[in-house]
Amino acid sequence: MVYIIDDEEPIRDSLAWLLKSRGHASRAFASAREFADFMLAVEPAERTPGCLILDIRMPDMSGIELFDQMRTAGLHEIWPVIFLTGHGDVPMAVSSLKSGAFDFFEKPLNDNSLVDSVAAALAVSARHIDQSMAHSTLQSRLAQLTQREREVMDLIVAGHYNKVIADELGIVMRTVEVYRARVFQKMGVRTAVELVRLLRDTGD
Amino acid sequence: MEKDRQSGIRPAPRAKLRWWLPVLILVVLLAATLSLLSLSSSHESSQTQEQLITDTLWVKQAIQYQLDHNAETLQLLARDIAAESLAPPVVRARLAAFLRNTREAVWVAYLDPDLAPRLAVDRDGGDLAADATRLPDDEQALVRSALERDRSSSRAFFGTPYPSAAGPAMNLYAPVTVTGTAADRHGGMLVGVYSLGRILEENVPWWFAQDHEVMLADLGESVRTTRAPAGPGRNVYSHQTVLELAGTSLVLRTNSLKGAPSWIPNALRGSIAVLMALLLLSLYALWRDIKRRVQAEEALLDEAAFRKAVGDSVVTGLRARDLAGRVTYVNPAFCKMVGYAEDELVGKLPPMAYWAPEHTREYEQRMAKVFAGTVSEHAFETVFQRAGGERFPVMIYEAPLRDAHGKQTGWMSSIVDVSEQKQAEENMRMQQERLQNVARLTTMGEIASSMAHELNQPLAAITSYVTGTLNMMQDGGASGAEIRATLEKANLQAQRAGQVIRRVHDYVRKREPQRVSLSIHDLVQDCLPLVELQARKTGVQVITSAAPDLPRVMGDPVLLEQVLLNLTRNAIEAMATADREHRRLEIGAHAEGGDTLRIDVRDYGAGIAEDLRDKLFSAFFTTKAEGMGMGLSICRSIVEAHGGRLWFDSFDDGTAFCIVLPCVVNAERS
Repeated sequence: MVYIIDDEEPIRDSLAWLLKSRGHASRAFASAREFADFMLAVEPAERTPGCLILDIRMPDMSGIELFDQMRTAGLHEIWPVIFLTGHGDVPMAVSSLKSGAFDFFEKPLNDNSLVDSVAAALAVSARHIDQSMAHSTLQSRLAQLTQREREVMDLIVAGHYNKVIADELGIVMRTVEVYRARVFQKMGVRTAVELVRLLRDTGD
Repeated sequence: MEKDRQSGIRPAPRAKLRWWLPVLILVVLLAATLSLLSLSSSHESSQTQEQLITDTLWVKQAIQYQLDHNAETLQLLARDIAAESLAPPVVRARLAAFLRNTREAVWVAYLDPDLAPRLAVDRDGGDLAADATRLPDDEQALVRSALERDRSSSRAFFGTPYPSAAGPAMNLYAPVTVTGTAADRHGGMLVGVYSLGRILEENVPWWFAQDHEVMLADLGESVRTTRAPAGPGRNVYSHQTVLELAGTSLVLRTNSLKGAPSWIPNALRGSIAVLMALLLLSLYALWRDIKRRVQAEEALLDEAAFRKAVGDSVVTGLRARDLAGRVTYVNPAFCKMVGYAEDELVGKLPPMAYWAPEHTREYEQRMAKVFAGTVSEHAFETVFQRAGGERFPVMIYEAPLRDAHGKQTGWMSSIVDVSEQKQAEENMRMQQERLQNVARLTTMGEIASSMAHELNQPLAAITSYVTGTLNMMQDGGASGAEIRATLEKANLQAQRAGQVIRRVHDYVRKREPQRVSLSIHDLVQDCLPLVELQARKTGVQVITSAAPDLPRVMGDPVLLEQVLLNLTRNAIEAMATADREHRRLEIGAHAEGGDTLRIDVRDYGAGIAEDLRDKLFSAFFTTKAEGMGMGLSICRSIVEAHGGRLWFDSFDDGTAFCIVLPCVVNAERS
């Protein structure tokens, strides 16, 4: 989803048409504040891949102000921002680029390259959202483990055999095996190798 | 300068010595004169005294001789009487003869032994009565005792003086001693009666008598006579001597009528004292006068030093000239200003080293006016040349220079270098111009900026619509209706852009030029100060020939002024590299035909290169580093807006820009 934020109706409309011509769905906002309300209202779990085409010069709240708000909320990576600048706003755009904006275009613009950039931004967004999904899943799975199961898991990840783990925890081999099965089940893995990869890729 | 300081020496302390010396000399002179005076005075008095003594002795001798001679004569007569027993007539004749020869005697008598007179003859030759010849009792006693003492003596002798009715008298006795008898018989006595007064009268010469009081007296001075024809003696120079006669002694005293040499030396002393006093007084007056002069001189030196310090310290240049125009004084500030040393300027006659050659005529005319006194204000502005040839503007203030008697001896000028001031003015003006340019540019920038923004929006929308449509058409994913609607939207945006452009155009066209009836003469005059300001900087001479009675023109004075200033500025700048002598800007205006008026701005500058002539009036064309290239283009627009024409003519020695403007016809003018 491409969020077009511009105070000028013809710009919103023409950009929507342009994006549509390349198969991108869009949603227009007439002001930065409108979008700010929207973005804070979306639950993190409900976030879908998206990006912003943001006009820098707008009455009331400027594009830069909105961008700063997004950074505060940690949303600028999930929804990359492409700035649209008029004349004379280039230095401002460059500085925002340095602080994490995805791209900027000067009006009047080369429209298809804007759309290309939008596509790239959407891909970045999708990856971000996947990652954060995987992370939150792992967290919830880890939360299901008991204290003992957690201890056993840590020792498995450290590469110890059951025998060693039993000695370490002062329990019998049989009990270790039971815990091991439970950990594998709760973490949704079948082998120790899978467990290690999961923790490494999405762990903190 | 050094010389002046040396002359300002204070009076040395030896000045006191200088004053003591004449005083000392005066005192010595006084002492010498007084002692000389006293010496000469004492010398004179001793001389006078000696003379008196000499004269007195002479008189004494004369008297003594006379009396002794008389005594002898009378004694001879007595002897003759005794010896020859002369007859009485003979005796009488001899006595009379004696009396004639002896002028001192009053009378003479022949007394018998009883002292009774036998014969008595007075000075007239007559006989005296017996009682007239009676001797005083004292004399009779004297004679008798003398006769008794020495009967035989026949020597004549004098009796003591005695007072008589005819004044003090003294008798000469000559005893007539008859010899041959047993006892010398006393045969009587011849007696001559002398008047003491007559003795003096007869024996003291007149030349002595007139200067002296002469006194004859007996020793006791109880009987005396004095001869003082010219008054009593002064008892200053006197001499007394004793006259030894037979039988008696007389005192002869002379007393000079001359007083002590009193008033003459006193007058001398007095006059010397007075002269000395006068001398001292005049010396004092002289001293005081010199002291005052020294003080005045000191004050003058102080004043001169003060004035010099003032002259040296001021940053204003000072220059004095005499009536011939010769420089007589310059202060350091002036030397510094023109870059010449003092001795290179002082004493020189015009043309001066600091005159810029191209202004020589102006200087000479003004100098003539100033010296003739026909110039009313004594402050004017001109250009001087530094030693290096650099010109700089100066402000000159002239004031007449007068001597102590109020007679004018020249002119004093103070010269202020106003180049910095001019530079500041120029900078200010340029700053102002630059600011105006900036302001204009800023305004233009703002207009352009808002224009760009306003155009950006529709343009961006249009490209998006068109690109989208192209994408759609390529994919074939859109219906004809959809594409049609989109293109209509794009069209709408294009129209919107057109409106933006029109609005800006309207804004620019908003200011309508003013149209009033104006005089080109006034217009030129109004521009002139600014033109001359620029012209003076580069030494350009400005000549205007716009008659005041030219026909009037309808137009915007501000715009036309801008045109004129633009053209004149170009002209002045075109002459920046020309020879100074040729830098001349001519602004002329004249009526052309009946209904147009032509203004020419002619320079004698570099001219316009052949290849530039076509581009000259196009906008943004410029040959100047700081130019915008708008000047001539705007000028032409303005002139054309006034219904006129602007072009230029190239000459070998410069360029003339010509403006032709339609003028107001006479009917409209009223």
